[in-house]
Amino acid sequence: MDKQYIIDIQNLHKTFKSGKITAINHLSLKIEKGQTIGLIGADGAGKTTLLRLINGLLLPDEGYISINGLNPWNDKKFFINKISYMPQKFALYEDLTIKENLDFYAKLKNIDKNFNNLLDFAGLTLFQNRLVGNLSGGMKQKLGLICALMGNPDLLLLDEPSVGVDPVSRRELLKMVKKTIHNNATVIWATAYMDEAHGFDRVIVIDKGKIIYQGKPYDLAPDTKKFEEKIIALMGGFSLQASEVAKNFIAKPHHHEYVVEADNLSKKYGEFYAVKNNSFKIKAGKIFGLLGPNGAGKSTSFKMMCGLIKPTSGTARIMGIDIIKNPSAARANIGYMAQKFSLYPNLSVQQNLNFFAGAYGLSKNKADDAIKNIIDIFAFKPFLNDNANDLPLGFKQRLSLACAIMHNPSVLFLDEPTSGVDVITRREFWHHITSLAKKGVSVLITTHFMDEAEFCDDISLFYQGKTIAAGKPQELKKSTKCQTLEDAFIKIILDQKRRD
Amino acid sequence: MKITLAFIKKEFLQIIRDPSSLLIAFILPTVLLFIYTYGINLDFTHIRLGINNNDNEKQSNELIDKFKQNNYINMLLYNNRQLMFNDLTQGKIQAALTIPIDFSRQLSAGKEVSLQLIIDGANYNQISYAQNYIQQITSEWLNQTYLHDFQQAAVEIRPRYLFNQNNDGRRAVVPSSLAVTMTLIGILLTALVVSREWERGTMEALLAANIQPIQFVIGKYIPYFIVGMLSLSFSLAVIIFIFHIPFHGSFFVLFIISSLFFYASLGIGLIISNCLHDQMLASMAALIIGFLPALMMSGVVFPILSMPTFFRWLTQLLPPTHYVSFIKNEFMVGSITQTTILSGILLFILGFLFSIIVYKKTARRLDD
Repeated sequence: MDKQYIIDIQNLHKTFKSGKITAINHLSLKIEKGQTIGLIGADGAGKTTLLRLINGLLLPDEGYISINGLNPWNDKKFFINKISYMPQKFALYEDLTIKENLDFYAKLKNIDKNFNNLLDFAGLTLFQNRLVGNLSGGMKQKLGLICALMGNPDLLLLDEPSVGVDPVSRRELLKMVKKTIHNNATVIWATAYMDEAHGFDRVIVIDKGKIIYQGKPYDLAPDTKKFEEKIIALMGGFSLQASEVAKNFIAKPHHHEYVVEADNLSKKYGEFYAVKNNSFKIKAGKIFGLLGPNGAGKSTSFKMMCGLIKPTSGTARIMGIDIIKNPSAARANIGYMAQKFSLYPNLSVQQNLNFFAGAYGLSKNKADDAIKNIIDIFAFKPFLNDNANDLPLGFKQRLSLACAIMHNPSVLFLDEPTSGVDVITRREFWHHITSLAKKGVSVLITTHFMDEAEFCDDISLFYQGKTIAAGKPQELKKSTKCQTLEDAFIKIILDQKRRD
Repeated sequence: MKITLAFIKKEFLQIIRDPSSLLIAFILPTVLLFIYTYGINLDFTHIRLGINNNDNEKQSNELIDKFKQNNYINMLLYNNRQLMFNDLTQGKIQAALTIPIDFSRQLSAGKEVSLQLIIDGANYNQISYAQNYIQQITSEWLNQTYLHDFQQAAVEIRPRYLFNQNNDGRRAVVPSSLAVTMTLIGILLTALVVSREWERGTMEALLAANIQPIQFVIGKYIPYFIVGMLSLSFSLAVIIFIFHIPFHGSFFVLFIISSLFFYASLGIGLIISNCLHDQMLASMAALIIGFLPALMMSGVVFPILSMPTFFRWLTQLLPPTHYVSFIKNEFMVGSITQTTILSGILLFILGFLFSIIVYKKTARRLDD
């Protein structure tokens, strides 16, 4: 075997559920030492399975993997501290402190406890004795990354470390890896962010368990935008047809100019303001994006607007109805889609629809009409008897959206609906959202994808419970003199940090 | 070794941070023991007895007075026999006694008389209690009143309750309920600890860090073994010093056998936890597999000897069966070498068997 390759995979095949689902389909791959490689693929394409196979967490049905000439299943003990893996789910003990977690993993891997340097780098030194359960999402990811970086590994396998992380933390994660690994280390970084992938030495695109592209990202396209288009085309493409969802959707007519008005909303926990004097207005038929780093108070604002948490002071009006005085009447105008897939996974599509119709209190006749309508609008007919869990991810999202708009609300609240979702599914989802907005539905959305924020009519940048910038995407870019919204976002946050 | 120690340290930190394990180890046994000691009484008291006296002479009224004075019986008099039977059918009374018209006359004449006793058989357990109480009261009265008329009974049985002189139910119930409680605790403590690693995703990191199954298994046994033994010591203190149940055995022997018992119980919990990667399911399974058989099949409530052969063999697979017989002896009689050694050996065999299954079931990879 050639010395310069760290990974040599030949004819790898892996199925689940006794052969019914093929995760990796006769895949062969060689990876050179010292490169950073982006792993891209739609959800369910086999990225996680591939990383787990390389790491010896799964056994293949067929084929062969060699890492530096060693086999990950039998020879693992020889290179355990030379190969590091960061799973997608936080693999940290939430009831232990940062330091206790690090001590534990260091001993487990038989590595010296020389992680002070890494802690400094991540800016976590001050929080060493804090329980991991009390950290923000970005901090947890950094800690997970430290665990993986410990011991200066030769091979680093990262499974979507930047999911659900704000742009600032995301850049910090990338910097941590680049600055702390040694020259000859190889990194495989699974990601749904095309700008991230575009910056790597190489990208591997996999689809249905097969590699469909491998090469330098720059060769595919010189800039991020075109790169994304190319990747989408590789993954089967996405054609911009009229959104079926919006085609048959008929919005409830109303006369309100502003459908959502937040009026000095504040929420105080003890002495700490989670949200402070938050005011904004959403015009009918507009998309309003609420952006901000993890822990900025976006979710708290959301929950106050839905009447799920009582504000300490201030109020919000939905279609002119005060959310404090009359929460249920105000809520009846809202369709809410939570970040987590909150449908019943082992009920069929039909059963889920029936349940949500009942939960919204629609009468039998109305419910039957609404469900029939939804089935037409979302083209659910072929899937009616499938379990929600078995649907492709794009359809799951459609179903969540369907359940959220079942009662024909005038306002849609979407809390990070695209977190952990691949680029094609995101495209499709946004297509539905913008089409619905054109039909007159107003949308309030949070997201960490700055390219998505570009689709919003208005955005508000949230930091430490306060709005620190607001306006149209174009205006924000202009005022900060930045090319992209992401750069603008980071600049505004960093300016604010400096001022504090 | 270093890895195992690190693992044990981590488990202890989690136990200290997580109030639920401390709750299971110390609060739960106190509550359960309190219920078993004061709340549950296996003897039936306050049996509601209806009497229809058709005789109404001196003798029958004397007998009725006897019933009236007895603590175990709540008596109701009926003039109408049909009414009494109606109440029996409706469950207002549990037994109905009919005294015939010529009761006193026949008795004075020295003839044999019959009383009719009808007992509600729907509650299976109370039949024999009701019958015994009523027979006992009647014959006592008969002996006192007519002793001079009849010859002294040829044989008299004077029972003496060995090892429990006062025939106090608590002395027998509390030690065996300790066994049931400890089974529940042993299984509950460990039933969640592996499924929690799966649910929170830390199992993936442990496997990726190449922790060996043997390190994992030892690291899971030892901390909860220590917590279990602490829980036992605590419960013993409560039983002996607060409930004042006398202890006749040796603490040394008790701790040796209890260690073996925990070894076996923790094994069942770990098997559950290794098979079910969902905490909710695991805790349900722990209750059904751990608690219910311990209560019903270990001989605490229902005698093992009266079970069908198959179930009798099945009870032998349950650690509490062996522990119950041992701990009853230890409390009430003192250490009996033979039963102690037998229980010890059987518990060790079970524990060893379970730990092999735990080891085999411990995941080496994600799709195991």
